Amino acid sequence: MKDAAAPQSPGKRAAAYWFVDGLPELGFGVIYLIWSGLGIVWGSSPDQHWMKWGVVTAGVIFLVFFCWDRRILDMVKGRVTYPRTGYVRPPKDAQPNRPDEIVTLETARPLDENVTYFRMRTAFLFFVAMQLVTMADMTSDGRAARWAVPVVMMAAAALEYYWSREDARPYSLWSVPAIALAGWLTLAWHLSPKSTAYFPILIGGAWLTTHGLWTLVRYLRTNPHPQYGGAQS
Amino acid sequence: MSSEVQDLTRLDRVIHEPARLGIMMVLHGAGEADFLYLQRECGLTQGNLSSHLARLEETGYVEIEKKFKGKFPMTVCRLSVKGKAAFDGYTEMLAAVLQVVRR
Repeated sequence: MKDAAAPQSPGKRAAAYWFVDGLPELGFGVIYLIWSGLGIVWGSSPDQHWMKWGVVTAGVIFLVFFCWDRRILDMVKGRVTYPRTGYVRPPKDAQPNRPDEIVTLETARPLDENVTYFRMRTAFLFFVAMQLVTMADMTSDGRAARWAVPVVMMAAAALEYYWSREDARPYSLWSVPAIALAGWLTLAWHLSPKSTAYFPILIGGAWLTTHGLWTLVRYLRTNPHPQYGGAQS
Repeated sequence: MSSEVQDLTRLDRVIHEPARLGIMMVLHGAGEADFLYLQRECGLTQGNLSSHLARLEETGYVEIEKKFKGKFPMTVCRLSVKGKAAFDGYTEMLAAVLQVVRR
């Protein structure tokens, strides 16, 4: 797994700082894992109607987190990150069609560089992948859903790598193939087409959670809480 | 060439000091940051950063707000409108001088 690349400008460094503790990845990852877990169980035993409401609730939680992720994470970071390494304004969503302007010494810097694509691309991509597998399932009466997962996840892996290269949270070429590989591994798991549709967010959730946990553990180990740091010195 | 040399004397001396330039650069890029983040980014001691921030606040380039994030007290700093304009003016003037040097 690759660290967030050391960006050049203070704005890009500030954007990368949002991911220094792994909490954004962990947040989306855990929600995806819970949602997919409930969805797979519900798809395997559709007679359990109470499970349906669990899936709906998880979907609503995803929606809430998707809309207010910065506000929610800001509260968590207020306890975890800011006392350790400080606060900087959370990055805004990058404009998708922002022109790649060449910034030189002769030009002023009108662009806000404290921005990220993470929410709109990296995290949202797995939700889109789930929709694509569901569509494949619906259009083929359940026959194509199984094979749609590896195909869609291969495309998702390629897009994750391509999109994240220039983002505040880049992923290495060694990390993203795990998404495609996990897609192929699902072929060994025979479940109903309804359950299969949740595989993309299961894979995405596991992938994001792994990244988030790894980053968080490393961050907490290298940055002990100030009161403990003070006691040691 | 002489006019460019004369331009050098018009550079904003409040910003031109390396530590303050660093602080202005970070705040310009990040939007807003707290004391601890600035200290880590600029590599300054607490006292040093404090005195430079006080100077920038006195000039009206930086706004400092003390607030709480949960139970954690923070000193959040951001560039004022005057500070942004001064920083843009400074970088433009410096760029013009550098252009002459590289010609």
